[in-house]
Amino acid sequence: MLRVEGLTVDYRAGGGTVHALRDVSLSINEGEIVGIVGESGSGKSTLALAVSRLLRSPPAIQREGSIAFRGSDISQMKPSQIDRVRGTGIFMVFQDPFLSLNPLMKVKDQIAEVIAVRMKRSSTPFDRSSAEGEVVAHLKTVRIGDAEDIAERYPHQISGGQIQRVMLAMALAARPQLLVADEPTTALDVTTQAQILAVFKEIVEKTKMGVLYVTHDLAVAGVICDRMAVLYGGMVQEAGPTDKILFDPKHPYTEGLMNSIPSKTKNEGPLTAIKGSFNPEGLEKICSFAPRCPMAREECRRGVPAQTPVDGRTVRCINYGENYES
Amino acid sequence: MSRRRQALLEVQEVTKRFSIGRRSLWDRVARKRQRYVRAVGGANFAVGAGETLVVLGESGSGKTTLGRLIVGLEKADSGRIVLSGAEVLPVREHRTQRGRLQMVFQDPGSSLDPFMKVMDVVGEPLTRSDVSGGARIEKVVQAIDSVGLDRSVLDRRASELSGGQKQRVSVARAIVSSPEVIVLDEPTSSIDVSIQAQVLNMLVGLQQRNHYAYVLITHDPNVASFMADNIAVMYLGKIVEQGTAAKVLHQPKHPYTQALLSSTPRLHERSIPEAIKGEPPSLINLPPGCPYAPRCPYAMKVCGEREPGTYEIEGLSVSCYLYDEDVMNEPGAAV
Repeated sequence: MLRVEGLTVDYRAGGGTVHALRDVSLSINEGEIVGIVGESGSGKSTLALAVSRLLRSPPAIQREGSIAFRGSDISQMKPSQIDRVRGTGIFMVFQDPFLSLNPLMKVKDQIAEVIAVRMKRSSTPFDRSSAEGEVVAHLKTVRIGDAEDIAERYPHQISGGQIQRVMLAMALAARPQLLVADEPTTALDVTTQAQILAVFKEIVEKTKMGVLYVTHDLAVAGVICDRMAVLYGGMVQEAGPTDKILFDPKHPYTEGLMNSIPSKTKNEGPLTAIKGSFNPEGLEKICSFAPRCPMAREECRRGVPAQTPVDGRTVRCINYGENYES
Repeated sequence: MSRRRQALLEVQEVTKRFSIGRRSLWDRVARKRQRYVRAVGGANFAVGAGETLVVLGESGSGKTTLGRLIVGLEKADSGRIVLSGAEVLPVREHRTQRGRLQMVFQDPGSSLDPFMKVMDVVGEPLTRSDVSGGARIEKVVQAIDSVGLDRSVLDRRASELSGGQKQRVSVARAIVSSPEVIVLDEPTSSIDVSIQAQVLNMLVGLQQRNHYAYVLITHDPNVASFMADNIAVMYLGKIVEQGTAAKVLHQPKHPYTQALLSSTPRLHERSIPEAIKGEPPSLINLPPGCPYAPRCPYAMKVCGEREPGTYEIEGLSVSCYLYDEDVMNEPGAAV
């Protein structure tokens, strides 16, 4: 359904260029949740925005690659074409719940608006009262207890967890084929996060929509995703089925990220941290993780390691064969 | 908790509430009552030198207010905070305790002046002390060394540093005055996991060398398990359970602690964590009785009527009627 090939995006600002995404390829099938895991600066949000065609250009420039959604390249579409894909084709849920709804509209009117758009696109007459019934039904599906009451409220009158639910209800109303979610639970408490994750999984099973799920949290990705791609320095370093990556990580960065999550007490010795911090400079022609990698050797700086198939996933690391990008 | 040793910091029955909205003259005439938010209700604990107490809770639980009360940035409505036998007073009222209690704030991006040189940011706590000139510079350099930063950062501005470096600068500023107690408010929540591990290791190293008492505020059970000697779990302003880290994390007694821990996604677990129903009620109109009762799967009639006391059970202090023998022995108590 979605196929991203060789996507390369730069940001140009103040005379300098930042390579936000480099040669990123991934695909999402119907009913599948694909996780994009990365830390700040990894390019994960740029990827989510590019797929939703929400990148601001300038400063962003797509240098190479394609984003095929149902066979047509989103990145080449005219504004009028992309407008018809938004909402009912691709729907995006953002990180900050308080910025995602219109503060001056009641919850029910915002969801009804989405239903109206869907009806119009499928050339079905829109009926206000049946739409209101549908709004309440969607709010119930995302487990909002007093759905009728919440429908009558304005966004500032409900909590962040409720807003993320309303966004998911809106997604149900739009019936998109692809849902792009950028850190949808990061701003929420863990008890609320657990509820939202359960709703996510449920509606994906029900509607068979594909999901691109962006998160910095490996544990969350492990819980919700079927497959995942680990991003570092704008490149996919390791990608494959969640079980493979979670239980047997091959890339030193994936492994380092897992070891960084505290799993012992201070009396058992220090945590295995990844040394240094991410610095985007000088990474064009080497493995982007080499400056921080505990296993780095001279060969890591000979070129950019190519994606190499290893045990059911792909890894960009020369420990699994000295293959470089040409 | 560790009352065997002479505790360095003691928090005794501390409460704090904030008034909300202003009462107009008409409201006064109409005898309309001022409304309050309870931030902290009856907190009790002790922390010894070289020990870490973790305050674990979600947003709105009052954990940050508790931290601010400890260092004297807020004044408690009732109760006492005692540092080596002497009561801690609000910062403005008491100058001799200056520098003995320090706080590291959650977001170093907003707690550090972006235009100040790191040298001045870190040295600022010493301005009112008798340390000056060369001795002051020496202390700042020492602090920068011990948080693992390169001395070259001293001439840079806070805004030029990365998130992890900023948080190290905040820690350096906290330790420059040789404090006894440091309150760390979510010290790693704004930085990446790979950097978090470095910062946590650094904090543990500092504590082992200098025997600081830490009060570490966090929402993350993983951070708590690495850092804590003891843990206090807060929900809506109340400490609902406290005890040693191992007991609280592995044999929690309070239904809220159990729910909090089971909702946290764990690496290498593929199933969706178990969720508790509902969301925390508004702090403004707290229900009477136990604050957790509306969401608690074990709630009994009494839970919605009056607040439970604190019960000692298997080494834990738990604020829950499930451990009140009188309530549990009443016929028909269990629901």
